[in-house]
Amino acid sequence: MDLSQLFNVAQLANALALASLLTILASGLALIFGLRDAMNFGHGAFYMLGAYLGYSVSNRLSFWAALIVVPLLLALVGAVFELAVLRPLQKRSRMDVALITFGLALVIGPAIYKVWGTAPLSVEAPPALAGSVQLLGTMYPVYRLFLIAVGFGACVALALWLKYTRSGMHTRAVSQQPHIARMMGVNTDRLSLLVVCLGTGFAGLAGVLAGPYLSVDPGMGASILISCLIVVVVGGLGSIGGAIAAAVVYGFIQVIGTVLFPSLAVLAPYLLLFVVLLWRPQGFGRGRVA
Amino acid sequence: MNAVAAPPSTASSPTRARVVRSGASSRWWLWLLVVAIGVFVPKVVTSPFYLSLVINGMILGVAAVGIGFLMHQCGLVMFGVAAFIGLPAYLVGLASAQLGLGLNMAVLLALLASTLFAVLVGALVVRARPLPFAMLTLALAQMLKSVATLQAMRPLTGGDDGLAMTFNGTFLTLTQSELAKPAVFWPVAWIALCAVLTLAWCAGRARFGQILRATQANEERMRFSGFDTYVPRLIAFTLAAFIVSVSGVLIALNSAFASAELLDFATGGHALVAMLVGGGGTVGGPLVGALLYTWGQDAFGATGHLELFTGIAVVAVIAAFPQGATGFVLQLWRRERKADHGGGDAARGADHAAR
Amino acid sequence: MLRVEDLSVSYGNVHALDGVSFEVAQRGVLHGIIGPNGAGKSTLMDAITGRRKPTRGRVWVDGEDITQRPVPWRRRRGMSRSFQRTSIFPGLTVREQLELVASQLDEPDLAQIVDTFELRDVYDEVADSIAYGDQRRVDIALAMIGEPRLMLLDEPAAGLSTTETIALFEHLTVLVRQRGVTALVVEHDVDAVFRFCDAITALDLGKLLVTGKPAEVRADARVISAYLGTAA
Repeated sequence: MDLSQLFNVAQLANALALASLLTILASGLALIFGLRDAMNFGHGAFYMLGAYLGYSVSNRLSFWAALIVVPLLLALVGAVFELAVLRPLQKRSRMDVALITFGLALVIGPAIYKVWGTAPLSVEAPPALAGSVQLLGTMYPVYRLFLIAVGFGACVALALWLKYTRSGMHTRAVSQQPHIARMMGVNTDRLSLLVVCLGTGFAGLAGVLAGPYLSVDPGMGASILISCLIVVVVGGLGSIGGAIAAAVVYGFIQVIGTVLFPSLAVLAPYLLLFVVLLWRPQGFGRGRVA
Repeated sequence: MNAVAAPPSTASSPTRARVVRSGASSRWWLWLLVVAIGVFVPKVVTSPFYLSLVINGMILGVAAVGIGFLMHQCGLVMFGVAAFIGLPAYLVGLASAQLGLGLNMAVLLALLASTLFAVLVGALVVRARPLPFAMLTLALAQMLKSVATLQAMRPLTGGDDGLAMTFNGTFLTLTQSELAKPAVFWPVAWIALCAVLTLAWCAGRARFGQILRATQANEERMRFSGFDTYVPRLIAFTLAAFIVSVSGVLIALNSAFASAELLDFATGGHALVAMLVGGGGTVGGPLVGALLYTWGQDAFGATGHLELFTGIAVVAVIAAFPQGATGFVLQLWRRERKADHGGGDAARGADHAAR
Repeated sequence: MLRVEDLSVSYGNVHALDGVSFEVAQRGVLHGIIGPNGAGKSTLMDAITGRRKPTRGRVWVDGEDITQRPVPWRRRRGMSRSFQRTSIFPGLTVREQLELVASQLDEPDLAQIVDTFELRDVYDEVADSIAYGDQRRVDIALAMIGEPRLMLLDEPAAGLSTTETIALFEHLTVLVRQRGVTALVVEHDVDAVFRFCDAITALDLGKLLVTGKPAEVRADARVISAYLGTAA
């Protein structure tokens, strides 16, 4: 084991690239949870839908078109999700909603296979983002830097929105004190629509971004959902800041695992989850959207 | 102040108590009769297709009964039920191939190891609230799937291709090829199903079940009444996992094959949907759901709209029939009885006993 | 038999309870806890019973330091409580919940408790379908099971009329004398407290004002200014 392998720039960047993807997904999940008190087990399926749609749009038009169109399409899916599922069930228990979203995942998956088949698909990065650049001594794929940039940008945009806009402030209020916020006149239904569409749009964005980075295959929804769930549990249910921090930690753990125990690396996140459960079962974040 | 009041038990009708007691033992005989008769179904129904279909329904039913027990008694839904279906299945194969164990011992080992694993996992996971619990069990199933498909594990588990098993010896005098035949496998599946139904029913009726349900109603008050609430929940989890493990073992015995697909979301999804559709409120509800589900898979599978129907079923159950099909039917039946008897006490009392 | 020393519960800068110390030496007494809203009465109950972890201080029962002990242990060893917001088992009948707890704590005479709290009529009713007053009595009855040495009742008369409150306190007095139970009672109905309690502890803003006999407490200047307004 060569320590320089651990701390070289490329590995660092890999960790951040993975973290980027997870950040976008996990913050969407945390937003929906904060607003509707609903853990969306279909989030992985939305992501997968985004990836497959990204594949089709990329092939027909371009990757850049996909980057704009697909999140919008997923936001539309989110609107249906909010209006048809979350809003009517808002008074039900968390488990009821969880079960329905799980049912959603069971339905969306096979529906995707029917349209696109079960063989893995590959999405090419656009020419502008193909190839590698010199990064502090090593050659590093441009696309991954793009991924990091977009992920970071999305986080910053989200943070700014939460902090400085009216709807962002309302979102924070509703997530922390739903009843009081409602009494103060916050229209939670309209806000939920906005936030859920944002959350699913993010899932779509992550899906498109994942195309050239990971492979587009039928198992991607399940595995990313688990990663998301681990991130959200480690970060503390409902805490966006926690989710983002946990996503970064997740990325690093994954990469460190790949370096130290390449054949067992896929188990590293579970070790993270296990350790966190033993040490601080409620996760690290300050809970609720923070 | 009343000095000596009559003890509470005689406040209820003594004749009713006597009737219940003798009713109970005759119910046991009836049950044993049903079990005994059921063994001979293959003599009457000879089509291997239908036998096979119902066997699949029963195996799914076993898993559904396990998670139904946990949900009804503790309010915890094991999203990751696939973990305890796939793990023992693989273990049967591994025990045969790697440890050279005879089939009987392999089955025993698989059940014991899976249950022990449940204790270890449960110790961590059972402290969580219902939602994190569901998430964690899902992560567990996915973790096992990752382990099974690791390159390093390929020689043991067959990786993505799955593990084809060659058994050593017989299971209760049945050879591997015999176990693959529906008519011969039927009694194995049937008796296993009846055994877990009995187990779940007894556990629910015992004080253990009362403690679990009271904890579900008000955990804080239970603790303030001197009850430890963690250990009973852990035991319930272990029991549920054991029951689910039986279904995994049955799959291994019947098909002599285990694959990572057994550990997949979708497999867990089948059992969950079966449980919900049938209704977790009674011991047999999940079984009914599993049989309906298996029949539905066969009937609608060809149309290619199976997932759509599954989705609709889940939505319908959560939205309108939270007690599932059996719960709904029972509700109708109770309303009928109340109408017949013209009022409250008898039916309400019976409601309670039936819980 | 109960000694509380420097008990404090803080959340950051908010001191819900601040250095409260007092003692209840005798058994078989009714000890009232009074104070205006926000005085920390319920927090004191929670800290003594283990529902909330104190940030400072210790609790002794019969000479044993129980501060670190878990809640079920405390109950099994004879410290019970009832709740300000009724906390019973909604889906179970009154019979089912009382008998379940009675079996856990080896209650020798459940019938007496049932009759004292006049629950015979609703004994086979499901708890969430009975009247509020009955539910309150179930809440307290649950605390009475198993011959506890120390009972902490958090506003047992909440929501009850004056007549019902008096009746409740009369029941409590009888039970307390008969069974030799020490009962701490948080109560807003000051008249009832002064009438029935053997000793009273007054709190305000998380701090202890005074502990003593009703006459002393009634005359105490701090209590008067904080709680009673004009001299009673």
